[in-house]
Amino acid sequence: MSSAGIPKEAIEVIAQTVGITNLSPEVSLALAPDVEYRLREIMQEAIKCMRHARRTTLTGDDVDSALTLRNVEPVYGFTSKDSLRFKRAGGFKDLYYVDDKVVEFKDVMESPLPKPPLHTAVTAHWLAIEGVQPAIPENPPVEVLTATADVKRSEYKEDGLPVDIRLPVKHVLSRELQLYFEKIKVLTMRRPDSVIFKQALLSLATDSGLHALVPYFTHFIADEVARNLNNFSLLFALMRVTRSLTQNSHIHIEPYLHQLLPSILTCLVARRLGHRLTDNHWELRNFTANLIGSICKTFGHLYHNLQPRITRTLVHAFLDPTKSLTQHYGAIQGLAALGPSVVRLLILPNLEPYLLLIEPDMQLEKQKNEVKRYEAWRVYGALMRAAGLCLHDRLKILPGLLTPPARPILKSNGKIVTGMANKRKASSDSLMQQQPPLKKMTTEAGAVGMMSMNPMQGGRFPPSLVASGMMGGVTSISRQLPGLGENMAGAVRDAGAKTSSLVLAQAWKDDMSAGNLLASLFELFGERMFSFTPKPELSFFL
Amino acid sequence: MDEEQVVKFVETYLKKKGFKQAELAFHEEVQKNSSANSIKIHSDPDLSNLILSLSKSGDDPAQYHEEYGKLRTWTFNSLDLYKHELLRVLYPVFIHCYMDLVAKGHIQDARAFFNTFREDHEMLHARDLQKLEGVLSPSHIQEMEFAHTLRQSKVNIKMCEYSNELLMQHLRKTKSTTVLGIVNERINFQVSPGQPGLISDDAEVVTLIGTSQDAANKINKKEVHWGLLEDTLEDRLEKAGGLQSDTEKPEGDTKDGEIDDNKKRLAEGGKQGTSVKKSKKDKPAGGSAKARAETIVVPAAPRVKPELPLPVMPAEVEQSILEDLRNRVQLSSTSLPSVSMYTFINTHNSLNCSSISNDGSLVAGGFSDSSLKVWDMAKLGQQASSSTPQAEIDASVEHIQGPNGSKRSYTLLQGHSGPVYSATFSPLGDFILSSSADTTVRLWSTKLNANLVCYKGHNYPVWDVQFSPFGHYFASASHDRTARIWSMDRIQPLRIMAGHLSDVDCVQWHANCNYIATGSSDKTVRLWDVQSGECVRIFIGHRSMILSLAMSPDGRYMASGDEDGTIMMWDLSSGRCVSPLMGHNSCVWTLAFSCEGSLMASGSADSTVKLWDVTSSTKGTTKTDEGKTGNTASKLRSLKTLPTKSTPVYSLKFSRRNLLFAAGVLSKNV
Repeated sequence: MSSAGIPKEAIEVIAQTVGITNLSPEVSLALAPDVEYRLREIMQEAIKCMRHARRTTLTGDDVDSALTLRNVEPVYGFTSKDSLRFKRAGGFKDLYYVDDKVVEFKDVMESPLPKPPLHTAVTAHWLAIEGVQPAIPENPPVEVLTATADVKRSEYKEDGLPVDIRLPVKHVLSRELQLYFEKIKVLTMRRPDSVIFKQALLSLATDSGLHALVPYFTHFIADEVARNLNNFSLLFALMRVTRSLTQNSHIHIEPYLHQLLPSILTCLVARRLGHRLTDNHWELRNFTANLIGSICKTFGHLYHNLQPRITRTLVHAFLDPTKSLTQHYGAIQGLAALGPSVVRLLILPNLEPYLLLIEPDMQLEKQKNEVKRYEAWRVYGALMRAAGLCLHDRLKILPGLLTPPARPILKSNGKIVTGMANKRKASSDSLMQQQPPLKKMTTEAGAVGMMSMNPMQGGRFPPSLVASGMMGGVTSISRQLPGLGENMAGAVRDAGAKTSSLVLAQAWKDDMSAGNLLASLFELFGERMFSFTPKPELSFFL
Repeated sequence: MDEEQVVKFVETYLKKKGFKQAELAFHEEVQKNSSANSIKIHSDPDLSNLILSLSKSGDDPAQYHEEYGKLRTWTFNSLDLYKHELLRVLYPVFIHCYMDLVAKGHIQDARAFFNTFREDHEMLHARDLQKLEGVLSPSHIQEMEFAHTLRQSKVNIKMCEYSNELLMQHLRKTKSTTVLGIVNERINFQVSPGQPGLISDDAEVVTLIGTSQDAANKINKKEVHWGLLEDTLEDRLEKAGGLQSDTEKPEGDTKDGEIDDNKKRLAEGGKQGTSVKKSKKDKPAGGSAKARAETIVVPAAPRVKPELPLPVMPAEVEQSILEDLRNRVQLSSTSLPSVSMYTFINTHNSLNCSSISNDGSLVAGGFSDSSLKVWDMAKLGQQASSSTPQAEIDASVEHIQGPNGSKRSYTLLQGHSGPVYSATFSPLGDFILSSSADTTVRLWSTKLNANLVCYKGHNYPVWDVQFSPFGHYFASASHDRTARIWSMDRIQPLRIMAGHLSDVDCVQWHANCNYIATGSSDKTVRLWDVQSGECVRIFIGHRSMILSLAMSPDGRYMASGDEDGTIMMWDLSSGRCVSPLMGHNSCVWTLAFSCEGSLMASGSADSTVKLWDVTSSTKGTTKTDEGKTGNTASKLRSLKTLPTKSTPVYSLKFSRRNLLFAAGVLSKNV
């Protein structure tokens, strides 16, 4: 601004643009200072207009108002509600221009109408309460507050302004609700074993009017779970609170489920829960698994991707051999809690290779570590329970599909027999069994791949590619370590096991014979499987 | 020629010896004695021109540059004790050197000179320099008012004897005849014996204004009756207070019930703003003891009679005001007010002004698209915050709602044909006045949602309009350099206040309604007598355009805020600045005193609300008895800064119960 104003050349150029070609140098020399003076005068008036519009940036509107003040026609076409965006002209230090793009008329016509601007509105909030700024989103963050508070001089001691920032909750919640929330918090944190806590859980599950507290509870649970992974009793208490909340029919917890689920899943599949050996984390995992099952049952129809998401997480945990056995246990329990069809789809096909994998850990001579062995047995038990429940379900639902046992199940020697069984099956089952099942798997794999994004849709699709690929890997491992199973000694068994794995691999098919399933499960688990079979059906087999 | 030589020698001799009186007497003698045509030659400025022409052949532009440079170097190297006095001389010399050059047509040299030395004065006089920079031809000097007045008037500079002597010696020694000529012609030294003055006096002296300091001083000698009116509501409360003090609520209750009270007050339909003063009511609560002590310190002003016939207040309104006064929260430096912030959103940069009604229930915004929009905050609160306790709203409450009330929450008032620059609620909240660039002021009814009157009188945009504290009368300020007093029932103004040298940017009523104050782009604030229309005070001290004014409820003080973020507190009776308040770093859009006058709030474009302690400063001044040099300790102190979330604060209002309302626009690029 301070550089020498308008040169006479500029006047000449402007003269040329308006059609005056032969402007004498004296005229332009005389005009130049006057033009500059007028410009400054207009700017002075424009700044006044800007101030009265309560702004600190000059806009085209201000210049227009200044021109009208001086009875000059305003310059049309430069008004803009937002401040103009200036670009620096290349090669000059302080020369700027407004980028004015050429706009195709056609484009303007064809582009969809812009959204109508929102109505001007006024909102109210407390900027300060008795001189103290509450920490609400409408006020600037606390750091700003403390930074500016330093301005306050130290010489005024009597000020003694309280620096504490009040909780935002206090302005939203009634006093009763605040008290309730605080009480529940204390109970959960301090006295999770007391009778009063049980009553609190009951109140949480049944009271109406708690809806305003839901976000705070969700936040509380998520926070505490993340912070207290080795405090077993607190975790258990938190899960109980969660269950109570999900059971309460008066509150709408759906929008907050996505915040709760990570915490719940953590309590299910975390590597370590609690810091002592005596902590019965198995129980917590079982509890949480049931919680997940009930959540899926209650809210699954509202959130169609709720169950798929949970399942994916759990399957990942289950099929990852690098994860610890405790994590596997949690995953299996969780999957089992989601229902027999999930087990049939996701566990059974992977059952056999998985058993092979944990076998070494279960044997006394192979695994010296007591804890590890115990864990392996736990996992084994969980798998058995899952498979058994699934079988039970099959037998209950499809009693009509019961086929006579394809092979004498009590005789476990049967390469030939099983082969025959396969043949018989092929003849009896029409379409499905035309091809060798494994081949079918692979041919379907492509189609399945598309579905793998949402593997559980309709509960009918096979496990995702990841799962099947993993299964292949595990199978190959099992081939290299033949005949180590406690229940399947000998090479003959190996062959039998292979066929049973085939049966299991196609367990996801709806019309899969329950008899075959039982047979193969029996091969893996032995007689313990019978406990899951209803009496009449059992007699049928035997 | 011989005679002139002699005259010259005598004069230089007298000057050298410092015989001021003798010199003046000599001049007069010479003038009397000489013939008619020689008067011109011998009158003071021309004489110096003569000396100039004798010593130098013609006017050499380089001369100015060289001599000013010398003076500048000498001043900067002078003794510390006298330096600040000598520095004051530099600016007027600089300005006049430049204008001399321009006047003589050396445009290029003038520009070079200006750019070489402008930095020195940039800090104090940036705006003046910007204006003068544009003066590029002799005709501009005539045309531009600022330059013209500068040429016409002399600058007064206070100096101690010794500084003056130093300066003259230097100028003579270096033979700086050009500068000497300017000093003689343009500067009027007020030489005082003894020690040099304090730096703090600077502010008053360096401002170059059209009116001479003398004139201002003369005006400021007029009497101002700043006392409050007789028989105010507060007096009545005081009388009643003795009887009711037992039933009075404890202070804590009052605070809790504040929100309810505000809502309830709406039901009463708003009330009249009363002139309020430092509360003297006897409260049993502990905090009041201090307040009482202060009231004793401040001498009670003599009560005055209203010079305007004032409207009569309805009895029920009076009752509700008394109720409010009884429930008022006592504010002090230790008990700060609660602030309720009204934020405008989605304004698309078009909100020019906002105004809050006395009870905070109505908020008006003036927009650059000529519209005026009014929000009913009680209704808004109903929708938004369900958890805050609700006061039952009477059926009698008027429903302010647009035709399609479901979609927009405000009442749209259309009628202006230019940007609306100001809006003000009547004390009862039943009328709104708005002023606009279309040179009119319009009166709207909030009950009928309609325009009632259009007041035409100004010739240029009306920047500001304010209702008087008792309603009925209002004042407007305009680009046409006048402020006008109107009454609601006449379409012609009652008084026109003319005298400002530039736009009148803001206007404010005194608590007793007998005076109005105006702030202007000429950097002065003036106080006008409403009855006579005369200017009774000129307050000089601001360094940029005045944007906001506020009057203390006890009628004694006035605060003004300017474009740079400086706030000045003035004593109306003495016309002096009590203390400048520094803290804001951008335009101060609004100022407000709390109802009992102990706190002041200021809202600024830097997105903060600041609270200032008023009592500490007033105590200080009364003790030192306007001995203004000793007042540095009693500076108003900033109690608290409340930053907003990128929301420049456009208006502030203390409710009668001392709840502070603030309004501003959420803006992205602040």
